[in-house]
Order: sequence, then structure tokens, then C-alpha cells
Amino acid sequence: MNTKVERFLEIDNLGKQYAGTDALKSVSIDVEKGGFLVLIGPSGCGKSTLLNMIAGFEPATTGDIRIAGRSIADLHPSDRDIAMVFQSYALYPNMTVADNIGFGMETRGVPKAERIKKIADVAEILQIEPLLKRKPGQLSGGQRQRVAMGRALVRDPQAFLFDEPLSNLDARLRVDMRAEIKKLHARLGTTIVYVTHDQIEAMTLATKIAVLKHGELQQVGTPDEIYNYPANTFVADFMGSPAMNRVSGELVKSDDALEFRFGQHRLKLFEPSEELHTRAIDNPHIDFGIRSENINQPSGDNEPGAALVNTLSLSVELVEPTGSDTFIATRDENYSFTARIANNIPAKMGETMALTFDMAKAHFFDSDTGVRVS
Amino acid sequence: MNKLSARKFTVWRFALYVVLFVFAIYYLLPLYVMLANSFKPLSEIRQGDMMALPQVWTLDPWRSAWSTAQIGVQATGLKPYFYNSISMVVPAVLLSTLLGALNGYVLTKWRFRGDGVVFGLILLSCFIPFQIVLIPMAKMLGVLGLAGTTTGLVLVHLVYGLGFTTLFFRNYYAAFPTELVRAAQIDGARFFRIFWRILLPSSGPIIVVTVIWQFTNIWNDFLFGASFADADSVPMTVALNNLVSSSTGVKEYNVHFAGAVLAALPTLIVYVVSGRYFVRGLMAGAVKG
Repeated sequence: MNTKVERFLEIDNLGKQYAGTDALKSVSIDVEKGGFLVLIGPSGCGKSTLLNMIAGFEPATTGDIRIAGRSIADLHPSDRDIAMVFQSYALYPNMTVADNIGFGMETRGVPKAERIKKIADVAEILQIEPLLKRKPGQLSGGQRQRVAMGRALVRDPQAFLFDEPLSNLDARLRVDMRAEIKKLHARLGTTIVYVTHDQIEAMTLATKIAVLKHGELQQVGTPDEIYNYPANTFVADFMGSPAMNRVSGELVKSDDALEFRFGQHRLKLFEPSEELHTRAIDNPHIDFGIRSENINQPSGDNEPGAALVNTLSLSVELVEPTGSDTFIATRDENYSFTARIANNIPAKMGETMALTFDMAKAHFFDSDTGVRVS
Repeated sequence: MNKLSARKFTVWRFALYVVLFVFAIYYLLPLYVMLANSFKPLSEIRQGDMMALPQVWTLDPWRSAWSTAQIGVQATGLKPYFYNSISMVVPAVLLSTLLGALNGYVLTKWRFRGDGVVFGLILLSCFIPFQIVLIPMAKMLGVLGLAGTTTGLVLVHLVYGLGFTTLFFRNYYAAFPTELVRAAQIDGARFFRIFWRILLPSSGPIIVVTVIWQFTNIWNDFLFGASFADADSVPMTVALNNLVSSSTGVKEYNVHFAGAVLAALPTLIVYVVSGRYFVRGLMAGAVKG
């Protein structure tokens, strides 16, 4: 099914062991040419280890890495035709910005005239021409970030590696640089592997997201797949803010339809799959998940009957207006939900509020394994 | 209220400065005695007042100490021994600093199995008393054919200094970001290019610390010089001792004082010129580490 073009960067059963424990368990990911792969997960999940193995700083215990069909697993970092942007930027403190960008070419014996031209080209792309004669110590965080990207850009490599490049910037600058990286990627079309723990960065930048936990790959997919069809409860919780609402309950058949019951509440499933039907008979115990934006105030546009079916009266524990939306945290019995509603809907703490669950966007996970059922 | 406390403050300040001044005088006194007496004719010293300034200023003791005093067989003054010391100290300091930097680089950025043990062993050499190694060292210099040569002394000081210089650089480079080394690797630089182009140019403060430390220790060393040097490789410290403790003729105290100042001068200059870097270097390691 996959052609050679689609599989440009291949991570093939890559594994890494440190002193008997698995830092990375046989991970396989393919990236298409010009793709933007984001590796994401909590700290210690192995995402940085994986990036360092692609870069060549850490040898793989098992498996292979290929770029355009060529195995690079045994090559020196400089022979892999990759460029990297580091979390700390890693600019050479004793060299000017121009020398920082040109150091790789100097090492390769590129003639000086050509070096100067390429440095100028890159400086123009990143708008850092006025900084070329300065030392890294005289630059701001955002400027250093640009220089670090310039050093990677000037190599015109097969792939860029980014190791949490925005984590040292303040919130405002981070958003700006994120947009710039995305524009740069659109303009250059070079394949990128990008490590982050920020799920918004992952969603905004990636063409493909790989979620890792304890060295194990949880799910690989487009941002849409990861967000809308999380493979298990870990991915569901990790991606999206606030985390997905989840409650345990039972699937019950009523007439031709399926209902999810928890406590005294019942929610009617929207076009349930065959699997859920079978499940209701075999093993009705199940976890239900729904994102906060799929719990809304009842809308008059809905058919009165349908709206009422999936509308629950819940007591409001907390109201958090963010300006654009308002987050409502509800709690009754042992069930708590966070709903995201329009900012003009009145809500008061301690009151009861009717909230409609959009069951077309419901997720179901196995209660024991956490694996997605539907 | 404010005025009162301000006045109180000045009184305390004044007292403080007086005390500090007294201490400064106290510590400078030996230097004063040495300098004052080195400019006196011998007859004036014999009058017995060591603290007095010279009545007749003369440079003769300095000339004598430098170029005519009887030290070895010939009346050469301290001059040839000064050059002996220089030709021993300069290569010993440069080599031990360079090798210490290289050791520190390997021990922090090119970690290998058992590197901690290796560092521990190198560190241990800082604690070996000089006297213990005198005889094995003499034997080794004999085997190498370096007995009694300046090269032999350079080797001895180099080996002895490595423990300290390695310690200095290892601790400095431990705080040096490994990402820089990785970035250089991606840029195609290998072991020595990374060392020369990235690490060494960023090591200014610790190089100054190491050079001062090594220069002072090697210049001031007496034991190795007295044990391993021949007549034509005797360093300044040993020559000064020979000058001062010669048992024939009249004791020329003024010449001795001038000689002692000459012997102390290079370390003094090194401290004055780079002393502020010394403190800064020590602090840089402490804060970052």
C-alpha cells in the first residue's frame, strides 16, 4: 500500500535498552517526504531518546532508521544529512552569529565565498541580517532561536530535527515562533521530526503525531485522528485541554437503541457500531469519554425530543470564564464533567444546569485495558 | 534619628578602616623589610636597624644578586638559574594545562565505561605526598635518561600537576552544555576540532585559574628542584637557597634580600596581572556547577 515516496523517513522496529530496561520498545513510524512528525508524550516517555537516536547521538539496540531508503543507523551524526535545533539552542558562545551558521560548512571545507553567500541567504530568510556580527550572548531568546534555526537551515538537509525548540521562550513568543516554523515548513517542504510535550504545538504543526508513553508507541496518526479517534484513554487524556471527560458505566439495550447508563443518568448513543451492540450483550461495563466542547447548553435548534434525551441536569461546582468561552465544572454523585459553553450563557456556582451531550462525538474505551472500543 | 545613625555608621566605618589598615601594614611588613634592606649597603644593615629606610640608596645588591653573586662554581648571580626556572615552568605549565583540559573534555563529554574510576585515580594523585615518590621518580628519570635535566623536571611537574589540572577542567566542563558538543558533531566536527574550536575558546576563566595555580606551584617548588636538578638545571628556588646559606665569607644580607625578591617576582606579577580572573574563574565554576 505504501509506496517508496510516502515512506521517506522510516523508523523500523527501533528499540533502546539502558541497563536492562527498555527506554524505547520496538517503535515503528513512517513519515512521508515533506511530512511533519511530532513526537509527544510526558517526560520520560522516550521521545527525546528517539530523536537522539535519529540524530545519531545514541546507538539503537535493535531496529533500523532509513531516510529515502538508505539506512543511517550506523552513520556518524554529520553523515546522516540531518540538521538539528536544540532545546538550549546550543549556539557556540565564542563565535559570531555568522560563524555559528557557517561552522558546518567550514568543517566541510566549503570555500569562503560560497559560505558567505549561503549565510546571507539564510539570514535573509530568517531576518537576522543585523545580528550576523554579534555573539550569542548579546541576543535575546527569540533571536537565538532564529540563529539556531539558521544553522539548521543552511545545511539544506534531508530532515530537520527539533528538540523542544520553543520551551525556553515566553508564551507570546512561543506562539509567534510556532507560526514561523509552520510557515517555514510550508515554504521549504523539508521533512521535520519535532519533539514536544505541548499538545497544542503538536496539533498545530504536525501532519502526523506519534504519542509515546514509557517508551511505547501509543498511537500514530494525523492530528485529526489523534484528537477525534484516540486509540486509548492515555492518548484521549493527554491530547486536548482540558482533558477528556471520562466516566465508567454500562451499555444497555433499550428497544433498538443503545443507552449508556451511569448512576441515575442515561445517555442515548448516536448510530452505535456493531461492536458496541455486541458489547452491550457480552460485557456491558465500559468507559465513556466526551470532550468538553461536546457538552453544551441545550440549543433551541435541536429537535425537542432528541435534545431532551441527552440533556442532563448537573450541579455546577465551578465557573471559569476564559473570555472567549466559559468552562463549567459539574459534579453530582461521583461524576464530574467539564463543559465548554459560550461566554454569554449565564451560569452560577452551586446552581443546577441543563447540559446537552453531543453523543455523535462520544468515545468508548474498554474499562480494563483503556483501549478504544468505538 | 537618621543623622544619628549616619554618624554612628561613619564611626564604625572609621574603626573598621583603621583595623584593616593595621592588618595591611602587618602583612606588608616582611615585604617592606626585604625591599628596604635590599637597597642598603651592607654597612648600614650591620648597624642593626632593620626597619629603617636606607640612608644611602644603592642598586649594588640587586646587581650582585642578579649577575655576580657566588652561587655555583662560577660567580654568575641568579641570572642563569632564573632562566633555568623559566625554561622549566613555561613548558610544564602549558603542557599540564593542555593535558588537563583534554582529560576534563574526555571525562565529561566522551564518557566511557569506568570513567568515574579513572577520574578518582587521577584525583588521588593530588593527595600523594612529594617525599614518597622521590626515589621511584629518580629511578624513572634515570631509566628515561632524563636525570638532572630540565626536561626531566618538566616531566615531573607535568605528571604531578595533571591531577589538579584535570580536576579543574573536569568540573568546569561538567557544567558545559553537552548540546553544544552534539551541535558540533552534527556540523561535522570530530574529537579534536570540537576541543579546539568550541571548548577551549570558552575556557578562559578556568585556563587562568589553572595557569596561576600551576605557575605558582612549579615556580616555588624546592624539593624536586633540589632532588633532581644538575648543576646546569638548578631552578631559582634552589639557587636562592644556595646563595643565602653559603657558609663561606661574609653574609651579604642586602644581596640575599634582593635575590629573594627576584625569586618571588614572577609569581607576584602573575597574581597582580591575572588575580581578578583567578577569583572570577573560581566563582564561575562554583555558580554554574
